[in-house]
This record gives sequence, structure tokens and C-alpha cells, in this order.
Amino acid sequence: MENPKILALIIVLSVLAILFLITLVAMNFLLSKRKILEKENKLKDLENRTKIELIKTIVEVEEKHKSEIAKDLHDQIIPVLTLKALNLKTHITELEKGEKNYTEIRQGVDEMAALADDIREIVHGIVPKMFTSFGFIKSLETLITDMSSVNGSTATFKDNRSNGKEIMLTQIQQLTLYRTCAEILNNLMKHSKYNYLEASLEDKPGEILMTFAHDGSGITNQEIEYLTMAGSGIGLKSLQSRILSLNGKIDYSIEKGVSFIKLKIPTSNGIKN
Amino acid sequence: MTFAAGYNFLTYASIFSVGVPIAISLVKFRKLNRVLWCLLIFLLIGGLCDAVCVIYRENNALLNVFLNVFTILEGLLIFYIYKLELRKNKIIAVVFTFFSVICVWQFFILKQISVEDTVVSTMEALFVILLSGLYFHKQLSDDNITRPAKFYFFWINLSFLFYFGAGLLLFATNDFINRAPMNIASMLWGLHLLVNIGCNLLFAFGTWKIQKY
Amino acid sequence: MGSKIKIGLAEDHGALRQGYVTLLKGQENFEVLFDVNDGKELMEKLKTIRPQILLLDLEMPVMNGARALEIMKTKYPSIKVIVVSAHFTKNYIIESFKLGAKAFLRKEHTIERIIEAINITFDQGGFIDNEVGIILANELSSTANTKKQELTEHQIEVLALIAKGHTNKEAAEKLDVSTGAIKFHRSNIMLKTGCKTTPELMAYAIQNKYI
Repeated sequence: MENPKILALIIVLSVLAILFLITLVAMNFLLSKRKILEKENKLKDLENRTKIELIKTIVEVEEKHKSEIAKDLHDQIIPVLTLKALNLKTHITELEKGEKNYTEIRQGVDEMAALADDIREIVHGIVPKMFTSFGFIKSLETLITDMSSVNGSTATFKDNRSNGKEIMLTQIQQLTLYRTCAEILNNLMKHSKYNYLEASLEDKPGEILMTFAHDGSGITNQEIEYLTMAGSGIGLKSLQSRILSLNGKIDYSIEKGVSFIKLKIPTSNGIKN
Repeated sequence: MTFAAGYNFLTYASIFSVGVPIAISLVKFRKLNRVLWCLLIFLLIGGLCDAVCVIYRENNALLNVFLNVFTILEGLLIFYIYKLELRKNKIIAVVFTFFSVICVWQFFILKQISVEDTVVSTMEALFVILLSGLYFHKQLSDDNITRPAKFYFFWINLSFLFYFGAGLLLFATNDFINRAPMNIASMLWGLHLLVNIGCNLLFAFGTWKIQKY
Repeated sequence: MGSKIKIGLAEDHGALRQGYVTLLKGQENFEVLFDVNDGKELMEKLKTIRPQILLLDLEMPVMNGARALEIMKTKYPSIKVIVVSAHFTKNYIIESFKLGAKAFLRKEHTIERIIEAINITFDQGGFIDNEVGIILANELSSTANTKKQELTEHQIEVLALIAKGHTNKEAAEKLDVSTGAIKFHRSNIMLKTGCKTTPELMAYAIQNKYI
């Protein structure tokens, strides 16, 4: 046997090397899993923070809306009602004294009717009037076609649904979708300077697709992401929060002079209207 | 202390070290699953074999029978443990079949069961290393597993990998070691026993982990 | 004029509804068959009772007037509907007429105006007063807006492909865009050029030397 000592040494060193290698592999394995875990936690954190921000926005927007309604009621309705009540009281006193002044009383009643109109307007600030009377599709169609002839632009609405009249969303979801579309349209009117806007509604199994296509200046998903990270204004957050509440997705893209905003809303939880 | 004395000490230490995971298994008796039951049986057989080897160390033929039978039982038991954990029945079936064929060939056709073996134990080591790697791969590719170290079998798998990874070279050079001078043989088998002690401690740790699993 | 005009009433404001019923019953040539609170009740009544004229409020609970009107257009086309609404806007008026209404009145109108509307709708099939007429006329004139615009580079590319006979899908593949983008360009080009069909687009492209 040639130099058994050397062979033995080689075997010992090889065994130690194998043990060392196994230890390294195991440590690397644990470290890589830890990195994946850290990355996942970071993403979860970001998701949670975004959700909290959006919920905060929903609450902020609601509170703002409530304050506006309260202000309108306070400024427009209460003073007038109080004054009318006082006037009518005066006329009743005169009547009791035998002084007949029916003209002024009639005028007071007419003014009360006009007040009812004002209250109606405020109420309709809460829920869009066309929506309650004619439903989601008609109110959306009206909203879009009303935008036509603003600054010489044209807006059209196409109902490309295949299953007839049924929208598989609850009433609240439809109202939220209506408001989302209204906000998108408002933003397009303000910022995109389009000449032609085409809005279309499609339904696919399990979802509704609302597409806004226009020839004005558009925005991409990347730019939206950047704006979100940079702490965008309440408008964008309010839109995102509405879409989140519908469990929907929004996609912004630009293709050869056409800007698209595609809204995808799942309908699996909806009930027939 | 000479190598021989050191080897003797490590032999007894190795036998007693088997007691650590067995003791923990008895403490965690109610929480043991099928894998840990198989491991317990494996440790008991292993401890028994070590003891027998000490008693019958002068009778080579009988010693070889015990060692070869233990190798067969050890292999089959470990493959069954991996079958329970990996749930890859096809791979286990292939490994099981190959191992059985090699055992039959080596111990009953080519040679006898009372003859010293190198081939079967080397093949056994290779199969266990393969199965160990598959378990790590399973943990790595499962996105739901974010803390692999909290799984009890991670430590048991690591222990098998250490034992058979280190042992592979020793089993393959078994012939050389047995013909080598006493001090060299003692040193090399002593190293094997040291690894064995370490592995028993890892088994104990893995069994302890079952509480949190 | 021997027989009375059979009238139905759907109005959710109880006091107002009672007021209408009382005043309409006071007319010699009117017969009020029923008055209901909501659209669903209305549909139930119409299964057995058919008025000739129906006074319909648009905003009612359970089923609103617009939905009821939509159903009546197909199921009961002989019933002439007069919408009586608190909302006197262009959109309300146009949508009501689109859904088959024969007249549109404000809720604030006097009972005399309502009686006049019922009589004229019964005799002539419909009634449009001055206010509604002006609103409809304004709407019709505003839709005739045909401001011609220049085609953009992308639109010329798409027009050339359409004129050569490519389908939307083929044009999309050639320009590496979605069919949605091609469809949009096609609609926009048609609006700008005044063309209404593909052959007209082809002729336009040839005329203007785009191919």
C-alpha cells in the first residue's frame, strides 16, 4: 500500500470539505429563503400602507362631501326658511287683526315651492338624478353625450353588451361604477384635450369592461405608478379607492395616437339589478 | 491518548449519543408522527447494531452479517421516511427497486451476506443524498414555506445529508481503511463516529422541533 | 264624445296622488281606473286593468317609472303615457320620449295644464308644450355639429389600410396595435370625414390620394 498516511489524510480532508460544503449549502438555503420572506413582507407592508391610504381617502372624500351638503343646507335653506316663517307669522297676525293680505301669503307659498327645488338640487348632489330614474346605462350614456360639443369635441357611448339589459352588479356597485366613470370623464375633460372620445361597455363571463378611448394626451400605467409613489392628489387616490372597493382594475395605455383607459370590474359577487 | 483509545471512546460515545434523540422521542411521545416513529425505530436498530458490533468485534463473519442486515434495514427505513415526507411515490419506488436489486445481487448472488460490503452502503449513501437534495428543493420551490428551519424535518434531513455525505467517501474506501494500519483506520472510523454523534444531536433537535410544527 | 277617457295614475307622493285623483275625478269626461304607489304595483294592475292614458311619475320606489315605461313600450304599447316629473331637464325629457312617452309635464304644472295634456294626448296621440318644444328643438340643432378636422398621421396610416381592404384585425397586426385602437381610429376618421360606410372611406381615401 503506497503511502496510506497520505491517502488517509486526503480522505479526512475530503470528508471535512464535504461537511463544510453541506453546511455552506444549508446556510445559503436558509439565507435565500429569508431574503424572499423579507421581500414578501416589504411588499405586504406596501400593500397594506396603500390600502390604508386609500381607505383614508374614501373617508376624507365622504367627510368633505358631507360638509359641502351641510354648508349648502346651512347657507341656502335655513336662513330662507327662517325668514319665510317669520314673514308668514307676520301675515297671519295681520289676518287675525282683520287685515287681508292674501297676495303676500301666496308669494310666500311660491317661495317655499322654490325652496323645495333648492333642496332637491342638494339631494341630487348626493345621488345623481338620472341614475335613480333611468338606471346605470342611461345615466352613463347621458353623462357622456352631454360632454359632446364641449369645446367642439365629440363624445359617444357604445353599449356592446351581449346579454341584453342586465348588469350583474348590485345597486351600490353600479352607483360606485357610475361615479368612477364620471370622475374619469371629468379628468379627461380637464386634462386630455381630446377631439374625439369613445366610451364603450362590454360584458364578458364574470366581468364588465368599461373602455374610454380618445385622441387627446393620455397617460400610461408607469406614469400613474410614478404619480402614486410621489403621493398624488386626492383626485387620483379617490379614483383608486373607488376601483378598489369594486375589486376592479384600471389600465392606462397609449397606442399610435389612441389613449385607452380600461376599467375591469368582476361581477361574480353581483346580483341581478 | 492513542487513536485506538480515542476510537474506543468515540464508539461508546456514539452508542450513548443515540440515547439523546430516543430520550426526546419518549418525552414527545404523544406528538410523534409516522416519520418520527420510523426515525425512532431507525435509531433503536442503529444503537443495537453499534452495541452488537462492540460485542462481536472479534467475529468478522457475524459482524459483517449484522452490519449488512443493518445496512439493508437502514436503507429501507430511510427511503420510507422520505416517501412520507416527499410524497413522490415514483421516485421512491425507483430508488427502492434499485436498492433492493443491488442488495440481492451483492449479498446473495455475487458474494455472501457474511462478507464485508462497500457497494451497497455506497449506493445507499448516494440514494439518501439524492433524496435529501429533493427535500431541500421541495422547500425551496414552495412559496408558502418562508422559514424552512422551523420545520422539524429540515434538521433530520440535514442530519441524513451530513451522515451520508461524510460517510460516502468512507464507505467507498472501506476496503482501504480495513487494510490500513490500526491508527489510520481508527482515525478514519473515529471521524465517522464523530459525525454520527453530531447527526444524533441533530436528530434530537429535529424531534424536539415537532412541538412547534 | 260619449265614452270617458280611462286614466291610470302612478305617483309615490301620497298627498299629491290623492290630490290628482280628486281633481281628475271631478272632470266629466275622465274615469280614474286606479292609482298606484310604485312601478311594481303598476305592472300588477296593468295585467287586469288597461287605461287609455297613464300619468306616470319617473321616480318611484321598488320599480321606478323609467323601468315601467320601458316595459310598457313593448307589453302595452296602446297605453299613452304622460310623464309627470319633478325634473324638467333636457335629458329627462329626451329619455322619456325615447322610452315611448307621449307627453312630458312638470309636477308644478297646474291641473288645467294636466287636463289639457290628457285631452290632447287622447285625441292626437301626443302633447308637446312650448317649453318642451324649445328644449327638443335646441337638442336637435346641436347634434348637427359637423366640424371637419384634419386627419393625423396615424389616422392616414389606418385609412390607407382600410381602403386597401384590410380588416380591423389585419390592420392591427400590420401596425402592431390592438384591434381596439384600429376601431377607434376608424370611428374617428368616419366622424372627421363624414363617411358612414367602408366603401365611402375607400372612395374618400382614393379621392384624397391616401392610396
